[in-house]
Amino acid sequence: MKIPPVEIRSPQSVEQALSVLARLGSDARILAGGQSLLPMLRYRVINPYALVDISRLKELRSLQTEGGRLSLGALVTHRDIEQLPTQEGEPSAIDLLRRHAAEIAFRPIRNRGTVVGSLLHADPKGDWPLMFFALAAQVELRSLRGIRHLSLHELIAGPLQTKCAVDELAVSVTVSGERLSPLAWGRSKLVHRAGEYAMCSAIVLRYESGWECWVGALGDCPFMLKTASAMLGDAPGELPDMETKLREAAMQDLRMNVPELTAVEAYRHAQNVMDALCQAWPRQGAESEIQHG
Amino acid sequence: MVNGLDVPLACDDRDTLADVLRGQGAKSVHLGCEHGVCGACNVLIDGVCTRSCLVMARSCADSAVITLEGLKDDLAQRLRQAFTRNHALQCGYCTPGVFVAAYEILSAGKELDEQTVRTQMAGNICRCTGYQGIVDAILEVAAERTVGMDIQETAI
Repeated sequence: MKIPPVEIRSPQSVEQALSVLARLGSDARILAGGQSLLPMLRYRVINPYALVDISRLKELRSLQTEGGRLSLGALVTHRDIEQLPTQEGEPSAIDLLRRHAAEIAFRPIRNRGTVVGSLLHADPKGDWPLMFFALAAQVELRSLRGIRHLSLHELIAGPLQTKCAVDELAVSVTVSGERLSPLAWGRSKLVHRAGEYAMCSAIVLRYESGWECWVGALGDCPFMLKTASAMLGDAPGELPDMETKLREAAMQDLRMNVPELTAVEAYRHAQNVMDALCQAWPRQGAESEIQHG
Repeated sequence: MVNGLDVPLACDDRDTLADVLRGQGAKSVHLGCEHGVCGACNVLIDGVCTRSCLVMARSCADSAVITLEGLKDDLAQRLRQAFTRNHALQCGYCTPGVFVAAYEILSAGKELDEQTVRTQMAGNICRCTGYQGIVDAILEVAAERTVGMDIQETAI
């Protein structure tokens, strides 16, 4: 269907955008990449009075990787992440981000869709919420009233719902140094056809403090498999020996978080976690190497 | 700017780029699904392949947009010929979107194998050809390009 009648406001700066938002409040939606927003308008899922077009605000294009921090401005696209130039000694999670970005939808969508937009869209099947939950990222929200920093957990309230206030604009997402440098990582996204939303999605991270198995595309928002992660400990044995127990622990965690999961669905998600885990598993004679998928 | 010409953006706020381009006579922009899945509406915005059905026309006020009608350079001509030779189109409905996407991929100048072409072109749906002809055409032009470069180096 066509876009419903709507007004477009084109602020010339972030400050102006905040003024527009302050006046229009819940009558307005932010237009950045628009790759999730426009379909919602077409399906009449939302019907705002106005769109606040921030897509041409150059100050929101910043992408900083210095000082071991990763900071993405509101207009950084999935393609920008996919194409991050390789740098000597870059934090180990940068490549995790590249691989994750490369599997989002299709190239033309990645060319325009934004990372921050994806987080604020908060689609439970979306790709970036899982990643930035796992990396313990912070989102900066600005309004005329001031600035707030929220974790993904604080930001995402449910499917397509966030705690971003009607007069607030998300200007960036940041991951701090420690979380950017896991000792090992693995990821797995199961889709039936190219470009689809994930049927199963998992990210496994290993830090000095322990392992973390994160699951997305399930329930209201991404979550960590506590039992399975704890079982991995810090001196895992041979994966084949542990595999059955780990998968069962994963299935247990999954069904606890999402009680309506059938046995088959739980198995499928658990196996997908195992696929991600395989990539992160320490290989023989490679203790000092960063392990990744 | 559309296909090299400055054009006044006379449209309603609600119009997408696709609507406006078609209204201006760029009928190659096809509305296959209007929600970003089929790829028939692909255009280049500032050189970047984008779904014109998922971009508001007003957002493009400062941009240079190129549709299939505006792709006339050497690469585009060779790609057109490769499409013909390899039966990369039948009904032609998906073709503008396929062509623009292929053009963007080939413009990047990287080496391409079949798997990479299929992955990068996954955003275009074709009901007629079964895709093989499209893949062959793109690989052929990619290979030509390498040959062309070798010949130039030899000439020096």
